[in-house]
Amino acid sequence: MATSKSRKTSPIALWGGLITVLVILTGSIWFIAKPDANAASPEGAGSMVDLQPVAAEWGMGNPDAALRIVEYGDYQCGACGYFHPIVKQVMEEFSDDVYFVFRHFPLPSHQYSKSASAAAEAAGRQGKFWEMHDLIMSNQAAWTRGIPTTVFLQMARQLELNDVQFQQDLRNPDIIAKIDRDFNSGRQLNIPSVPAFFFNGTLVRNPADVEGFRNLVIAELEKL
Amino acid sequence: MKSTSRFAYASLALAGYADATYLTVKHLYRDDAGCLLSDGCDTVLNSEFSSIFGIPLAFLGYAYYLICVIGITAYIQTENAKILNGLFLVNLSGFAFSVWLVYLQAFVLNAFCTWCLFSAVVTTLLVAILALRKE
Repeated sequence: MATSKSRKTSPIALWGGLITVLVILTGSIWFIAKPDANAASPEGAGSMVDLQPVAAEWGMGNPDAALRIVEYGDYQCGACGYFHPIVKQVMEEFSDDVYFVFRHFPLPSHQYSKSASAAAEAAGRQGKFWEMHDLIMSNQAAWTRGIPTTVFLQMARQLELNDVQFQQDLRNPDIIAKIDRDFNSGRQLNIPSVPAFFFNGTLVRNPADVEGFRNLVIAELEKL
Repeated sequence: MKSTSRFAYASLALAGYADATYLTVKHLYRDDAGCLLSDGCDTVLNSEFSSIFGIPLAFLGYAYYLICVIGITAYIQTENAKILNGLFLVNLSGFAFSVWLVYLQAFVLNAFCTWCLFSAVVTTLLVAILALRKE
């Protein structure tokens, strides 16, 4: 094989070249792929921020609980969909000890996130925010592929909402303003990526799974 | 192995390496990878199949392509055919694993992740280059 090849590449040039290529390639991909050039998550984690309750926020669990978890989430983000059942499961277990608040952080790059937030808020006006929240989160694949507003309307009917009112509320300026307010508060907190969870005002590193989330909650409760 | 094949193999291995690096970084930051041409990436990458024995597949893919890149470089330097035999076994296992992952995407998850499909194509080509090589 390769008998015609008379000149062998010098090992130093070859391996040096390989290492250079790998370093440049890895470095540039890392730079492109990391969530935000300005606010990388590890540095952001652990900083105390002001996350006091605001009027008309959506919470579940015990409002007087000592541990208050605030999630900034985006309905069209796959990782948010991934954490949804995790949060639900943990909240079922700790409903007496934890108060969980969801705030909208619809990323501008996600075309339908804001309408999804509006759908959840519109359902909230008829007392079914969390029911709609569950449907939207657990059916991400369905509505991001179809015509989202149609799917949201179907969900509203499934929840037996007044659909005329629901459709009006989707464009309700108060609802849009509320979503923007949530989003802007998240911006001020320099959220590195979604979902972002704050435990009593401290941004935590997202755990890998439900066990990890439980352990975080338990550790936080033990500190109190 | 002919120099065109070497070049093709090295380029593909680097492309696979870039793909795996991207997914590894996204995994480390727990960030959405986003998708080109489809919208199933996050469904697939956050699924229960995205790690095996607790090791994220992105990391395995990274190590796998690193082996390919280092292997072909070692071969270019030494022209030792045993390295190619070793790489062939590595790529064959990678190919078999890719077939399984594509099956999962198509029939279990019903969602496709373009980054993962790209890797499957690269691995198929790597196997093909080595299988058709003329010593």
